[in-house]
Amino acid sequence: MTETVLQIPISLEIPIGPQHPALHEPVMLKVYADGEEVVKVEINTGYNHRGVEKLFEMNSFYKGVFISARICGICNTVHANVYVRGIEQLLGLEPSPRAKYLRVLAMELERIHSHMIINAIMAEILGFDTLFMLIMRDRELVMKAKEILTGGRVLADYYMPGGVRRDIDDVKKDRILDILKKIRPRLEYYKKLFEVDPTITNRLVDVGVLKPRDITLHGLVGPIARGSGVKTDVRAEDKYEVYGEIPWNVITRSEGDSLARMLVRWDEAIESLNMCEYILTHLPGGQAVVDERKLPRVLPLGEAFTRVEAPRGELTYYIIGSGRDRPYRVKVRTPSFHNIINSGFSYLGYSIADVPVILVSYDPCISCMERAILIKDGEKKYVSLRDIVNMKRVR
Amino acid sequence: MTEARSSELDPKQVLGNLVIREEFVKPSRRVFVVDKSVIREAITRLLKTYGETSIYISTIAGVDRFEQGVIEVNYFISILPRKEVIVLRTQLSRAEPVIDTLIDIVPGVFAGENETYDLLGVQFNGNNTLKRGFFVPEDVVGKGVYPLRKDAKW
Amino acid sequence: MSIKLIRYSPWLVHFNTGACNGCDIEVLAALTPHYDPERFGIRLAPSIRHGDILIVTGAITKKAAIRLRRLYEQMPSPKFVVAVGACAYDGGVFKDSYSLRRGAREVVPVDIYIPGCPPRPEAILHGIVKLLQKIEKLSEVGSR
Repeated sequence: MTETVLQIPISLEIPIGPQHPALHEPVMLKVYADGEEVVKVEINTGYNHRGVEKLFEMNSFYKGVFISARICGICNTVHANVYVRGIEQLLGLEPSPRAKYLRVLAMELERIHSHMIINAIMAEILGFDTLFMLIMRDRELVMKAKEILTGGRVLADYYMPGGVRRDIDDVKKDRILDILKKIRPRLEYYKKLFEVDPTITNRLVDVGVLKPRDITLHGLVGPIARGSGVKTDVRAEDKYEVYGEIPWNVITRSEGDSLARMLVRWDEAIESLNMCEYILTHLPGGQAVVDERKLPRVLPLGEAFTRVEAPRGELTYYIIGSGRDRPYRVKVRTPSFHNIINSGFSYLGYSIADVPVILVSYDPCISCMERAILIKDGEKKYVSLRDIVNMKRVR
Repeated sequence: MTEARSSELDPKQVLGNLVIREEFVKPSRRVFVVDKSVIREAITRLLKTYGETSIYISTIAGVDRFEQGVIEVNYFISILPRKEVIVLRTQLSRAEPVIDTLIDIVPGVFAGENETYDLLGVQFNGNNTLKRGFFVPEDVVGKGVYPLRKDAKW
Repeated sequence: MSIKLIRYSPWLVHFNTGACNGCDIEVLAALTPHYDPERFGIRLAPSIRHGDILIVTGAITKKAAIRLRRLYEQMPSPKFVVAVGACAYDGGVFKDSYSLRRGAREVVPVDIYIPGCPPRPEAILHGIVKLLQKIEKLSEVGSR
């Protein structure tokens, strides 16, 4: 019996804990295999640690808007949104309808780009370099749209308690609509490709199957849950901002394998595209931008628990006001916290070659995922994820 | 009791005599304060009533209430058929914060219980995966510091 | 002589020291056809031992700083370092955190800083090209 150990370092955006001096070891999935089959998974933890929760307590709650956005660059809009909504609930502020529509527009554009990037990465580890490049090229259109709306390609810095920080005029609105028209056929093409191309489907079908019971007992959220038929979407449950007013559907699939999860993401991207077009054509008039000089300076006592549907799943913030300008406590639970740490059970029984595919289908916030350490028969070797995917598979 | 009817039940009815008092967290999320000794009973009742595939534990948030000498552990639970999030709030003494684990009933508390242990020092009885240094770096662990406590110095 | 080769065909190694991923996806985007880095000969190196230019992103957490130093020492000379983003410069918004060092220059000698949060892909390419021009001047003086 040969013992193979696979260590895949991934780093996660988890703003845990206040002051932690040297903590930076990425989360390590230590996978033990007997031959080619996975028999044990250990989560060796360490997080991408920047002491964010403490920083929230050390800074005024307005600075917190900008800190929260920088917890995760890929889904910064949703972080800022859920934090700002929590603050608004404590302050008793209500943004105008126009501001709410614009906020949702920013979040949905972000959902599209985030889903595109994880699918591009999936294509890349399967060996499809061309598809990776094509998706990234088309993703640039979405970044352009985001830039026209918010002023920033990646970091939007768009939110402020009470509304948003910039408005759009008709010229910008038409430009964004044009871009959305161009993206639509591309998204549909990629979805079709993932559905029918045998090189993709052979590697993803029946890999990493999760049953609904596994999902809820382990607290897995987002497209992972929806890919197994669990119909949960914070946008439909909390109906925050304008999700109760605009027409949209919760996407679910029942197969529960990696392909279902990736297809849920393509379907959601197309659904988001529909939402963006609806928003732009039904934008209410009025003020959207907040006059920052008139905002209150003190965060009153009270507690708020706000949630948002980030591209990766349910993101929750629990904010406790202190009566001063600094919050008493801000607790952040990112979707990857559950999706990656609690999912160690799901690799058992599959081949080592399937491990990167399953991991990428969970959409970890990837920072340095290019390399893995393969220890076979006591010999240590650095391999790329793509090489692991090409290893022998057993069924 | 058929599935359809039980999913409509109000959680207050399910928890019944376990609730010490009710509070709320904005935006109108109900908080049920329960004694820490009944947390397993409370969760089991919720799981039995709504079904294992209809609820999940969304967040475990520990809060150091320094002034009151108490560490609060809040379990935010999402009840899907009711589209509602409720909070089970327990209060542990700051001097000896101990509570029963839920890991054998709900394996998904693995991440949350480990985090709360490492950062606040809450002991979850029966969870043998708990270890210091899960998140906190070695030098802080070496000083016996729980970083998220209000009086933590490192 | 080897510096001239870097001028025409620089191979990049990217290392994330605790970033929010914003700078990382902009670095990733800078390597896609839309921005066409290959016209400068720029491409990602297959391993650290083949790298010429080290791209550092992220607020340098203390543990990552050790790895960063090790990585830098593993690179063969001549080598250069580019610090991308406000966090790599001095910690960015996380400046007051106890878990961070004060910027990449505390750990490795930095040749070029690219400010931004995150900087656009065009800015990243511009910074790398500026580095290449700096290298060209160096190669005229003599190798390092």
